[in-house]
Amino acid sequence: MRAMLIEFKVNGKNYGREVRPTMRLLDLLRDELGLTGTKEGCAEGECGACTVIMDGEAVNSCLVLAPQIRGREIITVEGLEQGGELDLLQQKFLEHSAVECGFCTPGMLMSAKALLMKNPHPSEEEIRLAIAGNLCRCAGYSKIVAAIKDASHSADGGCR
Amino acid sequence: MREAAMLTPNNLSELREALGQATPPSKILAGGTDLVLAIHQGRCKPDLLIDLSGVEELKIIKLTEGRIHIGAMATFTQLMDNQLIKGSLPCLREAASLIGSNQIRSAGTIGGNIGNASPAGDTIPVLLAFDAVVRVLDSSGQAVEQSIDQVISGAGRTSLRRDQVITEIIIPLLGEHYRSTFVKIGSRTAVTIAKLNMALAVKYDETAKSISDVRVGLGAIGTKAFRERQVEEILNGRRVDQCLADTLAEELSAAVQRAIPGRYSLPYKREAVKGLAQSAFANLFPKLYGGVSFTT
Ligand SMILES: Cc1cc2nc3c(=O)[nH]c(=O)nc-3n(C[C@H](O)[C@H](O)[C@H](O)COP(=O)(O)OP(=O)(O)OC[C@H]3O[C@@H](n4cnc5c(N)ncnc54)[C@H](O)[C@@H]3O)c2cc1C
Ligand code: FES
Ligand code: FES
Repeated sequence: MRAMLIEFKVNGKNYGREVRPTMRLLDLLRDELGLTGTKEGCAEGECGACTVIMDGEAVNSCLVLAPQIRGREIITVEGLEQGGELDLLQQKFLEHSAVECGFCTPGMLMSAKALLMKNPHPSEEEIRLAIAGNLCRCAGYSKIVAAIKDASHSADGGCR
Repeated sequence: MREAAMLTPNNLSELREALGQATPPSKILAGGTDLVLAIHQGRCKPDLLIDLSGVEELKIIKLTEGRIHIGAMATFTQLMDNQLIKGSLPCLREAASLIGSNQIRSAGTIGGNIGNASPAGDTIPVLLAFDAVVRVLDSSGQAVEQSIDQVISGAGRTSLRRDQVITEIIIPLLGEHYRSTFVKIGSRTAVTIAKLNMALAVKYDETAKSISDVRVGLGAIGTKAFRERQVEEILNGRRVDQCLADTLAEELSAAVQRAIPGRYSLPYKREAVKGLAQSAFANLFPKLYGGVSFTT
């Protein structure tokens, strides 16, 4: 095995890890760091279940190789909660019943979070565009959009 | 399978050194939206990956002497947000904004779109219409400028040597009297026959209400995108009216017929391209259509 030593940050914590060059970021998060909130759906960039935030941008972790995150900062769904308190987005998803089976939810939340970090008060169209790469087969997009809109309307725009 | 090695150059000179170690199965890694998938699915088994993500020089977008230089590692999101692109190349911005999803746009790069050489690559018809050239660097440090047509040799194939990398895409700016647009149908998951894309650029004379220097880049037809010179010639000097939109539609349909005779996708594409022509024309001349703009 040709391992590479890389340093990176996940949810505010610094890591140094040996990784295989072709290991995907998704596998690093789930198998090596035990962060199983990030889901594997299609494994080909279509479903968005594996979405994480890399240096402020939503990306599919099934399409990033682990060594590419060296020196970068990743936020996963586990990073949303702060000191036992759910992030406003998470609260709004629950209030609006935007979660059913929950498989799409972590990816959906991360796409929404990345949007609000860049644009605290998005229009409905901007919300729909931001989650266009996240498939949900049960809850229905209107509830999800309503939850994100509600989070963005609150005082701090849903962003820390 | 033997695990690939990875080199992670941090600047252009380290990149040059890394290129010196490349063998035929070695691969350049950009945003990974095509390549990581191919590796994961076992379609591509590189011995060495050269990761460009640490080379900051390749992410720069700048204007020098009337030409826009776009670093090969500029992402589609970067192209959409960049003021220079917004102001001078709205049609490239349109193409970038219609790619994949937000996640794909924030990782996928313009260099990767060329390197992947998909016949349906969305930036390719735009780059062809603008006569863009590609700056290619090799391990000896020599840099050459090549046309898009020279670099892309066929479906999924480029003419790049194993020790070469695309560093920049250079686009000569057209004058202020030019108008351009990009239109497409069919997303990546759509079956191949349902895909088409096109860039259309024209010089518009407001007084004579006529067009010249017409440029048509067509993609997702045949093995690689191409300029449709015959259609360009027919449109040059013509007066802009609904009749001209219909001419464009008919001529493009004939062009599709010439490009893929006998192909099973022909009956669909030669009809679909007419709709594409009308949308493109409406985007260039919205007044003719009562100000409605079409995004397909
Ligand atoms: C879900 C999904 C949707 C997509 N939708 C679209 C779409 O709508 N339109 C579209 O056009 N594409 C689409 N794509 C394809 C892909 O996103 C683009 O082709 C993208 O431009 C690839 O860029 P990348 O940086 O990710 O390239 P990579 O995957 O890193 O590389 C692609 C290829 O190019 C080579 N390469 C990369 N950079 C260079 C360079 N600088 N010099 C030489 N060779 C290089 C690599 O070796 C590799 O062979 C989609 C992909 C996915 C997964
Ligand atoms: S698992 Fe990554 S997009 Fe579906
Ligand atoms: S809640 Fe089940 S897929 Fe979205």
